[in-house]
Parts: sequence; structure tokens; C-alpha cells
Amino acid sequence: MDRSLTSARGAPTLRLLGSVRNRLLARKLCDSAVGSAWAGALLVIGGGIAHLAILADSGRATLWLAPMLVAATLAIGLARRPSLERAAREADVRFEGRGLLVSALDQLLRRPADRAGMAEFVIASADAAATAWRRRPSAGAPGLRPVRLYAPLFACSFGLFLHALPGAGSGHSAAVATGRTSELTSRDPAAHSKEPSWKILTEPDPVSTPPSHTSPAPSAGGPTRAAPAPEDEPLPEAAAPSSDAIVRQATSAGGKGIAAGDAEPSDVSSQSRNEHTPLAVDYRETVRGPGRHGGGVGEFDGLGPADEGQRPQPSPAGSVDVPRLELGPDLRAYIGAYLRERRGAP
Amino acid sequence: MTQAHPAGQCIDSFRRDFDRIERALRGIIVGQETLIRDLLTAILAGGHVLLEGLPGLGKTYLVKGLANAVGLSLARVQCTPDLMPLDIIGSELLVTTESGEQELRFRAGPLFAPLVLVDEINRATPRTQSALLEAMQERQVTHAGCKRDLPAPFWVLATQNPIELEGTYPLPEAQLDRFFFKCNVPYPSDEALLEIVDVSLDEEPADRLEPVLSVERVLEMMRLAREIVVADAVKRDAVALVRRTHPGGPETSSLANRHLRYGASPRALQTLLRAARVRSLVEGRGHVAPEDLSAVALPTLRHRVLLSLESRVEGADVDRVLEGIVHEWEHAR
Repeated sequence: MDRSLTSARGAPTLRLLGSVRNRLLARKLCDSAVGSAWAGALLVIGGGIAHLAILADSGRATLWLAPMLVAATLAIGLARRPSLERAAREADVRFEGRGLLVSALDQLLRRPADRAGMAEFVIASADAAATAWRRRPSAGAPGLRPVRLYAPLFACSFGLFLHALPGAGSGHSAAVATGRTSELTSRDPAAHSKEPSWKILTEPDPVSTPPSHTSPAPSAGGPTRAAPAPEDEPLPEAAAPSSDAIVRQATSAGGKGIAAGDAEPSDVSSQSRNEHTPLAVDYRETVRGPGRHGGGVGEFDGLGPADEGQRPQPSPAGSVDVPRLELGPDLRAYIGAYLRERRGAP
Repeated sequence: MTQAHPAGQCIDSFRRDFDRIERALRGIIVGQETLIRDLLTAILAGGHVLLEGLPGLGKTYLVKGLANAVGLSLARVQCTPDLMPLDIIGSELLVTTESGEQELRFRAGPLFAPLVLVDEINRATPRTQSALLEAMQERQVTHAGCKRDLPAPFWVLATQNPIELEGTYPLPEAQLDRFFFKCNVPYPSDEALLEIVDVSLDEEPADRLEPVLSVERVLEMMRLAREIVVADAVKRDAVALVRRTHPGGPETSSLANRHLRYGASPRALQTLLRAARVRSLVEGRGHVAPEDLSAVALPTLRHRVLLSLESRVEGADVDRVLEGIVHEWEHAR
């Protein structure tokens, strides 16, 4: 900086310009903060949507914030004070100085020998004006308007709320995520008439659950579901046990048990069945494996916090070890009667 | 504080004198406030002015009034196709001295007056027009290989008629560029016309206009204008404005690309800043503001840019194009 800048002449002008520079820097930082907040909000919302819809990991989605935070930190860290000329222009606009401060600064930055004939007058005028302008309550620069941060922060909160919702790792969402939506919306009566929406699976029997008829391999983070029986393979008559046997078999089928098959709320036939047999739905919920976010909201697995040790753990093959359930005699009779009715047994 | 400053007092004095002469001219030319202000701005910046307007709008009258107001002798050149350069420069005459000898002596033409009114300049032949080039730019004339300086101050105020172009010789771009300002003389308003009837129905007030300023004072005012502060930022603004008129450039206005064939010259940049200095003094400032550039942009640039042929055919107006360019420039600052 020129030595003349330190002289008393022009000092009020430079003080005013210094304060305007500081305000400009603050506004620049505030603008960066608002921009970063909006970017962060969009990322959080995007992560939340991905978390809900496309089986993304909530934590991973939130990690997308990291580059944005780094960029924002860099932007704030590298922000420099605007130049004196920029401050002079801003001050001229703000105080309607009509180029007075720009001209005064221009002359202050020159050696006295290089100044124009009117330089002293311009500098003196600028000093007088700067002294008067600094007394104004809002001297400096336009307001920072931190209220601009409210909207992106609200949007960010909404995104965090999306993250808190149950993710795409279970139930209906999993079917959507793994591309089996056609199963959910299928209205093929033949398909539904041939097989029940759920059936009994014997635990170790590889015949009834041949690999070729298993559902498509669940995705890495997808839910563990029992494989449906082949549609064209009728259940053998001889396999129709008594109701007690059925229930015993079902409740003792560790890991397989009763599978929900393709039954979903969107399926009309199964829906009507479920109206009569809420247990089927409940039981399906029970045998459902812990999804990616097992134990989330709406995924009651029948175990409380005290039963943490008994909570089903996914086996390496993707099956689930379901603990034995104790059903009351009335419930057993009900299930048995219902199954016999379904199979047309007397 | 600034009022007590010597420079502040000079500025106040400048404003007072400018106001006096402006009021004097407004008293004889009614309804042409912008024209009068532009004319005085150019005069105090030391520039020549081209006045363009229909017949009867008071162009010649205004120049006569200006000459009377500042106490300058006015030489009038009525241009016709048979006007020769020597008619305006002067010629050597064979004269007999007191001793009885005969010798050639230079007899100065009208160009040697401080204020020259070149009426209907586009009726003069290119040869005569070009004789004005040297006088306007160099403030000297060359006759028979001998250079002769013109008096200072020296102003050329030329008029031309935008109609009746048959038998005329439109000024070439090089000569147009020599004019500091080109001022259009518009039709006065209804109120102004009524006032004209009241003021000059039976007599011409310009003839009885008393000088309000001396030539020395005018020169002093011109010197003061040269001391005005022009900050580098303002110079850059002026450069940006001129660059915006250059078609095909990186900073060119879209309007210039569409309508203009040639942009303003570097001389336009000089003119812009010189005129802005006077305008800032008139506004009571010791420094040029970007607003001063805007105020003098039209008379400075309108004769220094050339409309493209397509735009001419479409009837585009150079003033409208320039107003758009200046508007864009103001917003881009």
C-alpha cells in the first residue's frame, strides 16, 4: 500500500472503505453459506429419497454430504476480502456517491506528483462524505439477511426426516427395489388358483424348494424371503396332513416355516384371505428376515429388547432362523381348519 | 469544508458561469435545452460540433447567439458545390506596398476566426470538406506549402440538413470523426413553439444578445475542465462502453452485433472522457462519474458508428441502438 494511504488525508475514506470491505466479505461468506446449505439440503433430500426408494444405504447417502462440506469449508477458507476498488464501487452505489469514493481512492493510490489538479478537492470531498456516511446507522453494505438460511435448513430437516423413515430394505419396498413389481401387481387368476399365496415349506426338503424354483436371488441388501413353490407343481394329496400336523410343522420349521409366497396387499385374492386370516400376515411378518434395516419401524419381529439374543440372524445362505412360536390351541385349530378349507379337504 | 476549498470555489464559479450562458441561450432558442447543454459542453471541451436538423429549427441562429454570448467573432461559410478550399483558407493577393513595390500577401479566410459557422457543410465538395480536416484536427492550415496556425480558441460549428440530399456530398467517416459532438435538432414542443412566437416574432433576440462571458473566461473554464479527476475505473468503464459498439468483439453488445457495421473509434473514447469532465463540472463535481459518460454518450457516438445495410433497410435508428447499448453497459457495470 502506498505511504500516502497512512496519512491523515484520506483516512476517513479508507476507514469507510475498510468497513465496507468487511461487510462485503461477510456477505460473501453468508452467500456461500446459503449456497452450501441449499446444496446440502438437496443432497440430504436426495439421499433420503434414495434411501426410501432405491435401496440405498441411509448412512452412505448421508456421506454424500462430505464433498459438499469440504467444498463449503474450502470456499469459506479461501474467501478473500474484496479489493478496495470493489468496496469503493459498492459504497458509491450504496451512498449514491456518484463515483466520489472510486475517484478519491484512485487518487489516494497515486503518488502526489501524479495526481490530477482536482485530486485534493476530491479527496477532501470524499473524506467529508465518508465521515457523514459512517454516521448512518446502516453504514457499510447491504444486510446479510441470514433469514435466507431458514429455507435450506428446513429442507435439510425434511431430508433428515426421510432418512428416519424405514428404508427400502424390507417388504413391499424390497419387491419394488428388486424389480419384482410385476409380481405385486399380477392379476393372473390361474397363477393364484394353482397355488396358495403362502404355503408350508418343509425345512430341509430340497425337493419342495428346488433351486430352480426359488425366487430370484435376493439382492445384497435385500430381504430374506422363503422361496415360493413352483406354480405348476400341485401339492400332493398325501402331503395333506392334519391341522395339528400342519401347525406343528409350521411352527417347528426353523428357518423356513410358512412363507408368504407372493401374497401382497396389492393382490386381491390374498387380500381377501388375509382379511379372514390376519394371522397369516402376522406370521409372515414374523418369518420375514431382518432386512437391511431389520428391526425398523413396522418390522415387528415378535421379539422385544430383552430377546435380543434370540433375534433371528441371517444365515450365510440368506435364510433366517426363526425361533419356534407357541400358538394357542384355538389358534392352531383355526389355522388347521382354514388350511383344510383351502385345500378342499373334508 | 469542500465549499471552502479553492477547487470547490472554482467549481462553483464554473457552474455559475455555465448557468449564465445557458440561460442566455435558452432565452433566444426556446425548447432546445438538451441541444444547448450539449453545445456548451462541446465548446468548453474544445470540440467541434455538427448540428443536424431540418431547416428552420434555429441551428444557425443558435450559433450566432453563442458567438454573441461569449463575445467571439463569428465567420460564416455558406457551403455550395462551387466553394473552393482557398475560399475558406484564404489566398495570396498581389498588393502594392507603401513604397510602391508589389508583393504577395496572405489574406486569411474565414477559417481564421475563432468561431466558424460552416452552414450546410454537406453541400460543399469533398475537396472543400477535406480542407476542413486539417483545420479541425491540427488547428492549422497549409497554404502554398506554408503552415499557418489558427487562432485559439477555435471552434467549427457545422450544420447539415438530413433531407434534400440530392446534389450533396455526405461527409466521409474520417471527417465525421473530427466532430466532437453530433447534435440532433428536434422539433420543439407545442409550448415551445408558442414561446418562440412570443420571443422572436418581430425581431431576432440573438442579434441583441450581450456577451455574458469573455473569451478569457471561456479559456479558463476549459483549463479547469482538464483538471478534473478521471479514475482508472471510470476510464475502464469508458473503454468498455466503446468496446461494446464494436461488432464481433468479445465484449460487444448484441445490439451492436445485429445493427452496427463499424464501432466507435479511439477518438470517441477521448471525446467521451473530455465531455464527461465538463459534464461533471456542470454537476458540481471534481471527478467524473459513470453517469457523466452515459449523459454524453449519444452525441459522442451517434456519428461514429455505422449502421449495417440491413438495419438501414429495416429503418433502424442509430440513437435507439446506442441507447440500448448504453443501457446494457449501465447494467453490466
